Order: sequence, then structure tokens, then C-alpha cells
Amino acid sequence: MLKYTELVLDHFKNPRNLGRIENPDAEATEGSIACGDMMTVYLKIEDNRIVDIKFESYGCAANIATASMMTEVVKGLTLEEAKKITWKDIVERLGGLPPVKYHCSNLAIDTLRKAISAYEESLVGK
Amino acid sequence: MKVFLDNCRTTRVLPEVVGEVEKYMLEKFARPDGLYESAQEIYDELTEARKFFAKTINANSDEEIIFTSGATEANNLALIGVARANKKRGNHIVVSALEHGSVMSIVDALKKEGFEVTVVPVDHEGMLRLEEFEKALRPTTILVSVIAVGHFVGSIMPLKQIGEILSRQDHKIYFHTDAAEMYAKMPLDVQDLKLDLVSVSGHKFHGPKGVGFLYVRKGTKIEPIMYGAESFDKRRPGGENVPAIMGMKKAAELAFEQMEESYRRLRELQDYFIGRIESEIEHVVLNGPRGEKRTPYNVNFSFSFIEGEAISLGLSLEGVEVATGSACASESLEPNYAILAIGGDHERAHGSIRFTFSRFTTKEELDYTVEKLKKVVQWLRNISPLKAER
Repeated sequence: MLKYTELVLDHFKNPRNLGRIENPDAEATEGSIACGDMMTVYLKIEDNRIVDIKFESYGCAANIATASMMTEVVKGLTLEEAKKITWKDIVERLGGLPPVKYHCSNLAIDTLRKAISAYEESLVGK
Repeated sequence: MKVFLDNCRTTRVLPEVVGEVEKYMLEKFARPDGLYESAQEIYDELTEARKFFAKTINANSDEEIIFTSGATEANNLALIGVARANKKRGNHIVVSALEHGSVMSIVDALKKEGFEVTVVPVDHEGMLRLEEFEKALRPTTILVSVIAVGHFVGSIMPLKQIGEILSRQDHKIYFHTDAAEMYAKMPLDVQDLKLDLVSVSGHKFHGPKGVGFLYVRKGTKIEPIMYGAESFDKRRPGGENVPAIMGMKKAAELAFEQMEESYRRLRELQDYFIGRIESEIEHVVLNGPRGEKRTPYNVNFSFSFIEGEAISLGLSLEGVEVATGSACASESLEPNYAILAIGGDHERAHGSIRFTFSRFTTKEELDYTVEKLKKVVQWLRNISPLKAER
């Protein structure tokens, strides 16, 4: 069993912002079943600011915990601010992750950025 | 409640075994190679221990038992020792797709010495494909290694048929099995199965860690893989781990006393456990065979739409300790090869959980496990973007 910090275990046991948003302003899914981790992020955006975010996760404890922490970090941020958040910020906030699990934090950030891109693309031409 | 269901990885050492280990540390601490009385006593007791182990597998002579530091060393000695000693006759080795990681690593190392290795596939139940096995044999084949019981999916390999196929060949092919999951759990007769080499590990049946033995049939050409001063057995030099060997003997005595009774009791518990999971949790797949082809010590399920590392950690937080075949739980991030070998896809490997019993596993423990499993599986499925209906 890999060693996780207390904070990672806490986010695994009690994930923040878990679930779906009905009629989200944007959503994105990244990862694949074959890889063993996959995540969907739902965004509610007002005046270029993330006012609500929720996620669903198919993945390991690190996947769930990094997604949970990511939602906590970016909720309330403007899209520009949110785009600047990196996987390292998430790992740091969690008090570290086993190196073999760094890709999980990447997935959380990638899914968020994909959702923001989807939102920005949806605005084009409006 | 604490429930340990990873007994295929290791087992709890019994108090009787600890007592025996302590005796050979505090009182009878001599080595077998001195010329005084206490050393002679240990020499005789180690010889008795070899006789005991030889008898448990119906070997002809106590000299056919070599004590090792466990099954990994026994596998190394068997495969490397036989391969090197017989390379003038041929350079081809055949193994099954379900071999333990130690055998897989050893044959990889032997490839670098010029040996060729064929990995014979297994069917969807994890049974060796005998036709393909027979076709894999060549005039240059010198050694076959097939695990006795698949340690991940629990399939009892057709060792008897393999032994018969090998005895029909017109040249000698040595037959090795890693019996870590078979020894002291079900009968193992080296004459009946026509085995030349058998690896056994003490800590799989409530003995100490770091001890095991290799059975080597008399007449087998084998080289040592370790060199040093001769003590008790020149094929494996260095001071014998006498306390662990005597502890393993005690553990084996206790295990053999209850072997048939445990087999029968665990078979009932296994049926009960499988039945409860299949009727109370949706979208599950049993990995490996059912009934007599499966060891009663193993149950392995894949849970759809969720991932095994999260399941096992969730269970661990509830006090239930199990193993998973998920890539996320391994340092290599590779999905479990045994699930892929029986035809499962990556999702099935990632969602697989192995529950392995000991002869002390109780119905109460399994009931507790099912309750916690239902809770963890339902919770993870609620948070998964993958759903049955979508």
C-alpha cells in the first residue's frame, strides 16, 4: 500500500465538491478506463469566475483526493487565475503525494483546463 | 473489527511456532557443523526436519530437501541452478503465463545468459493450455516451471497432466513448480505429479518469514547459485537459519494435522462468500475458476466502474485488508498480468480485488467484509462518472 498523507486520506474519505451540476456552463472528461483513472469536471461560471465546481472520479485514492483539492483551490477564482494553477500547487496543498501518483494531479489539472477551454470555445461567436 | 484477507501474501505466525523459534534461539542455538555435542544435536534435528519435509511431499530421501530463505531463493536455485547445469543439453525453458513475479524475473535474467523462454498462455479460468504447452516443447527444452496454484486468480494448475506430458518426451525435461500456495494446503505428491523440483515458503502457512525449502529429485543436475563455506548442505552454503527452519517445521506439522478439515471448511466459506457477493453486489465478475479447479483459499472479484486501489484503501480504512490487481496500486503502474492473462481487459484488472483466506478465517470475518465491501463499492460507484445505465 502506498503511503498517503493524512490530508490526502481526508480528501479521499470526504471529497469536497463531489457530484454533478445539472446544466453546467462547461464540463470535461479526461483520462480513460484503460489507464485506470478518469475524471469529469462540471463548471458553473459567472462573470468569468468559477462560482461552482463539481467532479466525479473513476480512479485511485490519489485521483479522488487531487480532484477534491483542485476543486477546493479553484472555486471562486477567475478563469485566468484558475488556468495558472498547476499540478505542483495541488500536490503541495495536499502535503505531498507518492511520486508514482503525480500523474493523478496532472489529470485533475488537465480536466479543469479542458473544461475551461470548452467554456471559452462555447463563447466564440456569441 | 480487523480482518486480514491477504493471506496469500503472508500469514500470522502461530504462538506454537514462535515458541519453537525462541527455543532454537535461546537454548539450542548451536550450528550443525561443530564437533561438540550441542552441534551434533542440531545436525540430527536438521536431518530429522529434512526427513519430515521429504515425507510431507512423498519424496524418497531427506537429501532431496534443501533449506532456503524462502520460495524466491528456492525458485532462483531451481531455475538458475538447473539451467546452468544443463546448458550443454539445451537452452530452452518453458513457463506458464501465471508464474509468480520471482519466476518471471528469474527467466528474464536467464535470457541475458542466452536461454530462450516460452511463456505458455492460460485459458479464461487461469488453467494452463495443455495443447499449447506440449507444442512449446523442443528438443532443446531442459526445464519447465509451472506454478502449482495461480497466486492471483486461484487456479489449481494441471500438474499431473503436465508431468505426464513431460514423461512422454524422448529427452529429460526437468519439471519445477512453485508450490507456495499449495504446500500444506492440499496434497502434493512429487511421485504422483512427476515433479523434479518444488519451491516452498514457510510464511504462507503460519511459519516464520525468510525460510523455505527446495525439493530436488535425486539425480537432478543442478549447480549451486551461492558459494561459501560448507555447513550442513553444500548445495546451499552458509549458516542455516535453524530457528526459522524449526519454526517452519512446527507450522507445517500443525497445518498438515488440519489440512483436510481446513480445505473442506474453507471450501464452504468460499462458496458462501462468493454467493453473497454475487447476490448482493451488482456488476461483479469472479476472476478464475469455480469449484474444484480453484483453491479454497482464494476469491478474486472485479468490480465494474470503480478502481481497485480506492476499493482496497476504502476497505483498509474499515479494517479489512486485501490485495488489488489495479495498476494504481503497483509501483510500475502496470495492470495485473494475471487478469490480462485470463483474457480480462484493463478495466477488469484495475477493478480486481483478491481476498485470500487462512485456515483461521471465520464466517464472521467474511460477513463483516461483505458489509464493508458493499458500503465501499456503493460509495465509489456513486462518485464514479462511469455508470451502468449510461
